[in-house]
Amino acid sequence: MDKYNYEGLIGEGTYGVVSKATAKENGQIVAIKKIKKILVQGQSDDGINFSAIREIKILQELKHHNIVELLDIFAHKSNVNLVFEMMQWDLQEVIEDRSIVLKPADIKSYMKMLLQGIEACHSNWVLHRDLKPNNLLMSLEGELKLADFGLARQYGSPNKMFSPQAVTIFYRAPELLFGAKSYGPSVDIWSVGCIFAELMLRTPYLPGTSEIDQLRKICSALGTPNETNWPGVTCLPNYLRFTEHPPTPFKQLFTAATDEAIDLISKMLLFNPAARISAAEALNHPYFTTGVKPTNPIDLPIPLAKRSNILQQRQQVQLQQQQQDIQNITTTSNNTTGVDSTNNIQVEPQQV
Amino acid sequence: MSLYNKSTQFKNWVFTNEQLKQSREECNNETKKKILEKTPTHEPNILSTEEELQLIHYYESKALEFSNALNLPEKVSATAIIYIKRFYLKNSVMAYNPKLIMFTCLFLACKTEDNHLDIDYYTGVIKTSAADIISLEVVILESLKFNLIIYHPFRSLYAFILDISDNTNLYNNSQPIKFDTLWDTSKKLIQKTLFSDLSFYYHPAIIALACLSLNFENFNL
Repeated sequence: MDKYNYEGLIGEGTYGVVSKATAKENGQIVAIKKIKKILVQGQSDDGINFSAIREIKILQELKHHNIVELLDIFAHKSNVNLVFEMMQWDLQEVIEDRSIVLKPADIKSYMKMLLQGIEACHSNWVLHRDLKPNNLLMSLEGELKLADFGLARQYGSPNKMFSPQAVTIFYRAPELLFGAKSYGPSVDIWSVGCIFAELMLRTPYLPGTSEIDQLRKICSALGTPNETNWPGVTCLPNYLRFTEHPPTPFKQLFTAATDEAIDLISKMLLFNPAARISAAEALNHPYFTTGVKPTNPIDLPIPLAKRSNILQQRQQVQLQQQQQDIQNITTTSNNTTGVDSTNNIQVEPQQV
Repeated sequence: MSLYNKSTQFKNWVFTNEQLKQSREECNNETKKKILEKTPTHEPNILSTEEELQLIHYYESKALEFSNALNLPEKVSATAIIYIKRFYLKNSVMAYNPKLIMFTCLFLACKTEDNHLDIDYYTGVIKTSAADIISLEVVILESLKFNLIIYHPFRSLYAFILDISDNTNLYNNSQPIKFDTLWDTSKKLIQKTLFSDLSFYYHPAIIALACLSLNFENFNL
C-alpha cells in the first residue's frame, strides 16, 4: 500500500475494483486490482475468492509478453491487492470504434499476438477458458496481452472433471454447450476463431442469446454436428439433435479474406475438438508467413476516444527516453572524452 | 526448458541444508526475543528450533489424517503439507498456532487444487470457527509469497511407470510386473517424503525416481 500513489478508480473487474496508481520506487504506472469479498447472505465468509486464487496461482508462474504481467501482490488489512502493468484499451473498443478501419495486416498482428499468448498458456498446461475481445488488453506500445485469468485452470491431470459453465457464451465452444465434462486447449482455439471472425466482420460472429440459441447460431453458420464431422458428439451429456443445415461457406461471409485466412479460420472452428488446430500449429500456418506482414504493434489503430491521450503518453515516454539517453551520453563522455577534447584543441592550431 | 525450471518453486523454494537451518533458527530467535521482551518470566516455556520442528512434523501428519478423513485427493494433502513447511520457514510455531495454520493450509490447498470445500461443512468437521481459519489466510499467503503452485513427485512417478510399462521387454522378467502395486507402493513412499525436507532440495522427478528405485527389488526390476 505504501509503495504506491493511488490516482483514482479506473474500472470494476469480475471480483474487485481496479485503481490506477504509480509505483513510488520507479514511477511505473500500474493498475491495482483490489479483491473484494462477496458475502452472500446466509453463507459464511469463505475467505479469498476462488477466482482470485486461480488468477494469483497461474499468473505467478506465467510470464510472457502477450500475457498481462502480475508485478506484485500485497495484502492490506484483510484484502489482497494484485498489481498489474497498466493497460490502455481493449480489443472490444477497437472492434466497436466505427472510425477505425482494420486492415488485413492489423488483423494478422492481433491474431499473431493473441495466438502467442494462448500458446504460452497451453504449453504451461493452462486453459484460459474466457477469451473474448474485452479480455484482450492493449499496452501503451500496442502489444496485445491476455488478461482476466479468473476462470483459467490447469489441465492434464488424469480423472479431473471440469465444470462446463465457462467461457462467455458468444465464444463458447460447442463441446462446452453440449456439456462435455472433459475438454482441453481446443476450447480456447474455438474462442480465437470467433474473435478472428469478429475482427473481420466487426460484429460478434455468433451472438447467441441462450445456450440453445448459441447452438442454433453455430449450426446455421457452420452446419450441423453429427457423428461424421464430430465422432462421439451424440454421446455428450447435453447433446441435442438439430435439423440438418448446410454450412455457410466462409468465402461467402468473409469476402475480403485471403485463402490462407479462410483456411486458418476453418481449422479453428472445426466441430471435432480433437481435429481443431492447436495454437502452435496455427502460428506456423501459411496465413502468417505469406501475404501482408503483420502491422507493428505501435502502428495499430487506437480507439478515437483515447487516441490523443495515448499519443501524448507515448510522446512523454519518448521524451523521457531521450533525456535518459542524453544523460547517459554526457555522463560517459565526461568520463572518457575529456582527453579527446583537449587533444583536439591542441591539434587544430598545428594543422593551421 | 522444463516447466519446473521456470516455476516459483524452483526459483524461490530450493535451499541448501544450511539455508534451511539458518532460516528456522532466525525465526526461532526473533520470536524468542519478542516474547522475552514482553514477558521475561516465560523463559522456561520457550521452544528450541528442534522442538518447533517436531511440532511442525506432528501437524503435517495431522494434515494428512484430516485430509483422508474428509476424503480429499492426495494432491490436496500434499500441497497443504508443503504450505505448512514453507510457512514455518518464515514464522515460528510460538508466533502462530500450528493447529490453526494446518487447518487453514488445508483449506487453502483445496482452493488452489480446484477442490471446492464448503467452509461450513469443514469448520463443522474440524470443530473450529470459520473466522479463525479465514483470518489466517492472508498471513499464510504472504508468507508463501503468493506462490501457490506446488510440483509434486506423483506426476513424474506416473510418467516413469508408463515408460517402464512401455518397455517391459528390456527387463528379463519371468513374471509380469504388477504395475498397480508398483504405483501404490511407490506412491506411499512419496507420501512419506512429504514429511521430510526433500522437497526443498530436489527436483520432484528425482524424488519420484528415488522412490521408484527403492521399490525395484520387490518387483524384480
